[in-house]
Amino acid sequence: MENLKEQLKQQIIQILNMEDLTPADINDEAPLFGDGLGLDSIDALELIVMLEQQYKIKIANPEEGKEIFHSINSLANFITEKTK
Amino acid sequence: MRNTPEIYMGAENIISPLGPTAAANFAACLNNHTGIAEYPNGGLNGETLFASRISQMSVALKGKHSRILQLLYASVIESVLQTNLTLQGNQRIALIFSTTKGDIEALEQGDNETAHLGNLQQQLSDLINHSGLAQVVSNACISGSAALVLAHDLISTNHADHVIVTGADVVSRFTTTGFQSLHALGSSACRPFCKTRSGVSLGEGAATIIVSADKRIYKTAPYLFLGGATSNDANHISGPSRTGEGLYRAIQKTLHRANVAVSIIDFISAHGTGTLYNDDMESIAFNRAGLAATPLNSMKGYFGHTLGAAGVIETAMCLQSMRNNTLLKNIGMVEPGTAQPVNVLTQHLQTPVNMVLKTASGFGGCNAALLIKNTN
Amino acid sequence: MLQTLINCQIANHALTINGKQQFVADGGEPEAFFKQLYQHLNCEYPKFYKMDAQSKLGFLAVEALVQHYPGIKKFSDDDVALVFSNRSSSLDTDARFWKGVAAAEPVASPALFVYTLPNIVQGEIAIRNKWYGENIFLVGEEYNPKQLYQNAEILLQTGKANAVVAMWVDFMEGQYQAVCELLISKGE
Repeated sequence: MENLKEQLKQQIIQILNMEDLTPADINDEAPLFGDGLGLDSIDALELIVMLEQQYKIKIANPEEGKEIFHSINSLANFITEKTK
Repeated sequence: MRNTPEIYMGAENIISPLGPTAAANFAACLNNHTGIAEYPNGGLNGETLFASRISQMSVALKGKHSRILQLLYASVIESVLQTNLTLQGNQRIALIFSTTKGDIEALEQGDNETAHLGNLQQQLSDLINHSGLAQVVSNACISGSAALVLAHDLISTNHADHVIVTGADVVSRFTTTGFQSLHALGSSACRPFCKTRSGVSLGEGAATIIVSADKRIYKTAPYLFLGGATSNDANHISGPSRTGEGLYRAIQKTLHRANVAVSIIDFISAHGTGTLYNDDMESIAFNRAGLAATPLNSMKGYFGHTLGAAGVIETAMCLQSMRNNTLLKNIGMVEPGTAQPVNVLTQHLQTPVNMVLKTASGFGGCNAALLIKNTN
Repeated sequence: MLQTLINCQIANHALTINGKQQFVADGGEPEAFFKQLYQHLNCEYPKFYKMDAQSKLGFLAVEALVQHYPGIKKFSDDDVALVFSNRSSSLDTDARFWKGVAAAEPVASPALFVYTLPNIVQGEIAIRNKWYGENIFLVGEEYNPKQLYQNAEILLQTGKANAVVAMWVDFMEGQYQAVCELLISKGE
């Protein structure tokens, strides 16, 4: 799980062009959207593409994304569940 | 500024799946036809999509020409024929071409050079023998409306006497997959202002309107163009402002400049794409502007979202509404349901149409509004 | 008649204000230079990194303009118009987006798609500066300052704006140029 979280942080930084950040800057529990990391609706859609491309998980409805992408923890948990 | 106080618009043409003239399109809409059809396998991974596409392209030009050039040429010619204008050698006729992606099919075929919008405009100018001022407006979904507003401004500042405003866009894999990636396409034909709306249906087509300081050029009565304005939301590059700030300001500026009171507007041709966010935003902006009770529709249930052509197609339909003393219902909607209530037309309505507000909103946070007045 | 209050240019890996070079990079890819310029200007605006190359270019030109002409802030938020133009529309980003779609395993990137319209750079600048005024994007065959001035002048003459940020901003396959001017009516 820890490896997955580290990997996710790196992927998010790369895919979302967060050039001023390192994985150490992203707290596992911190909200990714809104005030936390400041991601927006387009970022959420890119993460949906990432889930499909990198993890073969398809999300049909972007609304589901809100809970899944809440934090690194929620995202890691979701992926772990889906790939069991 | 020129002394002539009055600027007109008329000689409208529309080419869409519903027909090759504005009158044919209006008649089809009056008969509740829509250009939107179902396309199994239309999506990135073979999903079913809904779009308004021209299946039988009647060939206006001999030789190998792009679909979009065929549409533009046919539209401009049909429009110009409704006036007594001769294009050749007349430097006081300007041409404004509105489009978002132009000949995007060239890009899809790996020909980046041909895909340049200026290239397409030059091809059109050459074909119609136009050598006056030519401009290409590429301003997302407000392109057509912004082009019309620019035409008005060109004439009022004496840079032209007549302006041919023509807009076109085609449905392509490029735009289809793009809108899909934004999860912006509906799961049915679009339902503007509907409680259960789920997104956009893309559409293709071309339209032309001639804007002029001279009433006499038109073979059929033109209408008074009272100008318009654009404004930016300054909020988000793809999501509309939750307070409708940009659209509200565009409307206010337009009304204020034309010295028109909200109370005398008897119809709004709204943008109404059928996404949750856009239609909510419009309802908020219209309420803020005091237009909650003004009858409105979106034309996108008939034509789909024609992007760079939308402002011209939909304004041409406003002119047709005025000609026919008929407001069209907001097709596609089952039950109204937006953040704030607006007065959506649920039936076609026979009524004199005297003052029309056309609005548009687009990616990049841009918004436009313009006013048309009946001359009767 | 127009008056130019300030002229900012970004070309050949250099930022030039009113003819005087302010910053230059040694070499490298354009986007590496844009990042250096971003840091040089102390923008502190992480959204910059999400922008496509053309939007970064336009954004930086206006950032430099505002920094070197802070008087622009005296205009009300409705008064500053954006009149931009280029030759390439958004074709550089269009090609990048299309590459993903046309691949053997198709991918449609929403973050790329939102930049496949030339006017998006105006949105970015409007958001940054909280400008709600007139905005128009025109595509032409080549850099034509005279035409840009005419379009700017139209907005000033009609009273739709009291100041115009007029910019030619083009980025295509590594070739780029931004020429940005703040224009007002002469005699204001």
